[in-house]
Amino acid sequence: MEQIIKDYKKVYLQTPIPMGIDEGLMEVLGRIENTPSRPFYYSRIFMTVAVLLLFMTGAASAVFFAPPTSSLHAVKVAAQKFVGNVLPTPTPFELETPGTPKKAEPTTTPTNTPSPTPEKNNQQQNGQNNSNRPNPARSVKGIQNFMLPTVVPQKVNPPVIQGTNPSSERKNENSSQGNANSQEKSNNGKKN
Amino acid sequence: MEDKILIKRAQKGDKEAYGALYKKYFQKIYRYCRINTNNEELAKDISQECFVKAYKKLSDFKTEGVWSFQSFLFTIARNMIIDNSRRKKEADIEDYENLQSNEDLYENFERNQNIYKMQKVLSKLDENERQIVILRYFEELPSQEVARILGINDGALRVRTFRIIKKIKTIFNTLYGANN
Repeated sequence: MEQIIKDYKKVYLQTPIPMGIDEGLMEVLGRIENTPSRPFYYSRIFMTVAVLLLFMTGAASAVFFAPPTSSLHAVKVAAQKFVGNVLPTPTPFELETPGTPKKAEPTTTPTNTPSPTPEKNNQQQNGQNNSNRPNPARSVKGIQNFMLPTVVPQKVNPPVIQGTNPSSERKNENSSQGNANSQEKSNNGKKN
Repeated sequence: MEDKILIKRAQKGDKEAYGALYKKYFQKIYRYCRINTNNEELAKDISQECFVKAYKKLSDFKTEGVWSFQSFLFTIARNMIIDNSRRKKEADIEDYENLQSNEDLYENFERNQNIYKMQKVLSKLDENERQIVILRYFEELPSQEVARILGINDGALRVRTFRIIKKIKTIFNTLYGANN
């Protein structure tokens, strides 16, 4: 067995090279010179900056779209104060608190629509009442405000003209016996 | 000239120094690739690419570290062989019996019955066992370097080597009888 391994090793070590070493070396050096340098997007600086930007974008969008109930909203408010109201404050609804002094409006009819003045002014007007204001997102009224107004179709009865409107006759037929009797009575009265 | 001096010079961009390293180690790397790929052209390409890769990574190579330049090259070559076999799925590494039918390079294998037998035995070993036999017994690398190339510790290598020798003996006995 040892002899076999020795023979094999001899052949293995004599493995000929398919080309001259110098020729191969020239080829390798040529490849080294022709290899393009690493592109910029592989560099650590680029990767770090890209990851940071992604993270910051994510964080900014999380703050910007934060719902008023979340703790991030406080960050948003603080940021808005800092920037100076650059970002618009989404105020989906305003609650009218009883006893709130209202501004004199040109229209005479009292409306329940929120005043067009920005929230800042409204807060000033409301004064300390704002502190007692319930969280609109949690109150029932607030939920109702979120819901779309349901349109209830109202029955509009056309004017009844005797003998001309077949639909009214049909209605009368369908109505109860008592109603029919009362109609007859009224008809008789008119004739008289 | 010593490897360390050549490497330091090559790290500074001296291509002559790198050429000297190439001349010193190319044949070793080539025959290692040749026996593992069983393909002359592929072995040539991989061994050349191995030197190109080694040059690119040369700035990271520490001359004072535990790695010798030789084991550094063997590790790169081994990884490239594995990558290549995965990519092409040829996996000729498994089939050492094919070596016999290979053109001119191994023509003397046919003539020599002993070599043919050894090929058969090697074909019965698994990938890691074969690597240990090639690097430890044919290339005669020190056990620490072989362990580093294969990514195992020294103790594990010793145990494996012991088992491989036992296995080779058993294979010889089953294939060719106890008198071989």
